[in-house]
This record gives sequence, structure tokens and C-alpha cells, in this order.
Amino acid sequence: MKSKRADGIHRVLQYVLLSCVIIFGFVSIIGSGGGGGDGGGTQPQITYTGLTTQAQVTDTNSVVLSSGAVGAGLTGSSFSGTGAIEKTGDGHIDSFRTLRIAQALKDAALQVDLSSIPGPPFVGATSSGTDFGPCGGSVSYTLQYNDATGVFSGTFTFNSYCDTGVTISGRTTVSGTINTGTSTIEDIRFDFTNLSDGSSTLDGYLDIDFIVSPIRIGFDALFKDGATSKVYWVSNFEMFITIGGSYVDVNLSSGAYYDPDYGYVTITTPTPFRVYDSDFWPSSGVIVVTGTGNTKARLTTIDNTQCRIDADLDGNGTYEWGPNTYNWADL
Amino acid sequence: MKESLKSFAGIINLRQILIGLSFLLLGTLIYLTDRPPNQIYFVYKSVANISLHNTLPNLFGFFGNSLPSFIHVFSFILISAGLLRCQKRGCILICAFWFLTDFIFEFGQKYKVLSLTMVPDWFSRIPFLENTKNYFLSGTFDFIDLAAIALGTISAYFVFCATMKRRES
Repeated sequence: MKSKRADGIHRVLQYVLLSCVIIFGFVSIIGSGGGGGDGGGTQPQITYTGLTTQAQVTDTNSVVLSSGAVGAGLTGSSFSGTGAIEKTGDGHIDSFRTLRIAQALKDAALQVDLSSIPGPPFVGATSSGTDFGPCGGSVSYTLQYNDATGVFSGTFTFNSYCDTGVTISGRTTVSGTINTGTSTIEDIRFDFTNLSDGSSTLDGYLDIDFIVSPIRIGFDALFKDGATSKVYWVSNFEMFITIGGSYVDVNLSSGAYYDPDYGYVTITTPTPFRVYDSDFWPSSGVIVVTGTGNTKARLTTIDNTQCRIDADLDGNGTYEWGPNTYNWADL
Repeated sequence: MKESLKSFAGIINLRQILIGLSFLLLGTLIYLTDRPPNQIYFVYKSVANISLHNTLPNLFGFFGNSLPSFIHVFSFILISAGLLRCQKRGCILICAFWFLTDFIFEFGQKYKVLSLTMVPDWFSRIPFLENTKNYFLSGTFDFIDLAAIALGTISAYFVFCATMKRRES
């Protein structure tokens, strides 16, 4: 009898302990990232706490959502008031932050003197150096290179590195592949947890594929606005950029933009943006953001000073709201 | 009491549990030495500074990237199986459970939007669970992690078979 009771208690204890193990197993995945090539690690500095549901495009948010998708969250007074857009020494001026940040990182990568990276037989050896930004600041790098596979990895540390209208500070880890025959970078990925562009802090990654034409850029990052502390999320942006003589064409093929107050909208550019190097804003191009119920807002570039925004608020395919014309600088 | 503990030890497989716990400690060491403390919720939430990052060299190098994925599934299979002192069929069920759990969490990092919509808002008010959104948002999906999870599951099964005790009929 006593033995049966003991058995019962042991059985209960067994299942209580098993439940604890299962709970701890789940919690340990969430709390530690459960591993990850880069670490399924987490980033405490910036957390997106805003709405994660799809936004409904309305007459009150159509401007914020469409222009926010272009400016990665910085619109209105914070966009022009915090120095996000600044004329720089080389005449490059930026409004298209997702593009300009990508350009700055790309340029920094292409500046690296690949011949300085140890080749055979120094597999695994490190190389380091410093390059200077086109309009100020510097970037220091340390790279490891495997000559057999072409795979490299390392770090880039930006110190007020100024290029194409943005000034970047902070450390990123990089990895990618070098074409061992031509000594050119084929693809590169930047991972960062605390990169600053002067007005906001970025956590996320950006990868660039140089092999395809036009160049493909993947971008996924949280932007914390230094002025308002609001966090915006550029999620799974895929853009293709074509570099012309004095301009860049940008085609945003997919992605979602999260506004903390309204939720997310998906993004497409039916007509690619064209941004001239010396211009503040795009000269042509259209972006459409789509919310729940197929509601849409459409931002159409008129010229490098103005754009037009209209919206389909009921999702029937007709843009019945607007169009209203805005100065880029007033958005 | 002593006798009760002794008899409880008789209905579990202590060896499997200890192997699982040992590997779990190894996994913890990876997070303490090879990962920046601000990337690990457990570490930066702890009251004391327990991180050894930049204090000790990176002990696991390249393997430190995906070893936690291997260790997590390996350890929890052995601990669960050891607690139940199950036979092979039971172990296969346990393997499937932990494999699917880790697999789903890893894939959740690939489909961030879908994952985030499935996380209830009240999680943000519960310690530990508050990090769930951040886990999916900031984590990066990696096929090597998936391979590590599969390898961890298979390895755990073999270790289980080597250490299992047959039930008396």
C-alpha cells in the first residue's frame, strides 16, 4: 500500500519535472536565441514594440505611410530637423535613407584593398586597414580570407564615415565571398546592432549581391529615431539598384514597412525611383504601399522638389483620395 | 526520505539526465564566452555580470555559431527521455517533439512577419516571454542551424540507445 502511494507520488513528480523541463526548453530558446549562424541572438538596444498588424490605409495616415516608406520612418519635422538629410561636402544629398545607407556600406566595402588580404598560403590570416569617407570620417576593417573558397569575414568599424549624404558610425560584422580569379567582392553581408546614421540607430542587416545586374540589396533593420525614440522597421526590403553616370535607379521589388502607430504596409515601386547624385530628392518614380483590405497609398514623384500622394481607401482599385501635392521638404 | 529518493532514482535514467545537463552547461558556456552579452536575453537580464565575452577568448570559434542549436535539442531529448525512462518508441516521440520545436522556432526567424503575428501582445508583460518578438525579429534563419538540429536529434537518439535501461517485465 505504502509502496503504491510512493509510486504514485514519484509518477506525479516525474511529470511535474518533465513539464518544467519542457517549459525551460522553450524559454531557453527564446532567451538565448537557441543558436544561430549569426546567433539567433537578440538585440536589446532596439525593440520594435509598435503594431505588427497590417495597417489600413486611411485619409489620415496615407501620407505618413507612403513617405515613411521612402524615408524609413523619418518624416515631418524629424526628417529635416535632425540632420537626417544633409548636404555634404561632395554635393551628395540624401532623402532616400534606405538607398543611401546601402550605398554608403557598399562604397565602404568596395574601398577595401583586396590585394592587402593575405592569400595563399596564409589561409585564415587577418588583414586590416583604414579607408576614408568621400566627405569625411573613416572606416577601419579587419578581414579574414580563405583563398580556397573565397569566403571572407571580419568587421568594419565606421567612425563618422560620410558618403552619399549619410554619416555612419558604429561597428558591423561582415561576411561574404570574393571571386578569387578577379579579386572582386561577389557578395557581402553587413550585420549591425548599433549603427548610427546621425539621426537614428540601426539594428539589422544588409546584404549586397554584386554578381547580378542590377545590383541586388537585401535590407532588414530597425530604425530608432533619436529625436522621438520611435522605432520603425524596414522588413525584408529587396531592392535593385542600377548605377548610371550621375544617378541611381532604385527598384523596390518587395518588403514591408512597419510604422509603430499604424502597423505595416507592403511596398512596391511600379516605376523605379531615379535619384540624381546632386539632388535632394528623387526626380521620378512611384511607390505604392498596400495595407489591409487592399487599401493603398501611392506616392508619385513630380520632380526633385515635389511629389503627389493619392490613396485608395476602400481597396476597390480606384484612387479616390487626392491627389494632393507636397513639397518633399515638407513631408 | 533517502529511500524515497533512491526509489525515485530507480524510475528515471540518471545517466541520460546527467549527460543532457552536462551538454546544457556546455551550451551555456558558449553564450557566456562567444556571444556579446547584449545579444543574449539571459545574460543581459541577469543581475550580476556573468558574461565572459572578451574576458576569455572565443572558445568555440566557428562551431560556436551553430553548436547551441545542436546542444539544445540533444540535451532536452536526453533529459526528457531520462526523466521518463522510456523505451525506444517513447524516445522517438520525444525526439520528434524537440526536433519539431527547434525546427519551428528556427523557421520562425525566416518568416518574421508570420511569426510576429502569432505572438500574443500579453507576452510583452511576462518575463522571458517578453523577448519572443525580439527573438523572431532579430534572429537570423540559417540552414546550418537546421542541420545542427537534425544532427543533435540523431545523436541524442544514439546516445539514448547506448544508455537506455530495459524495463523489467
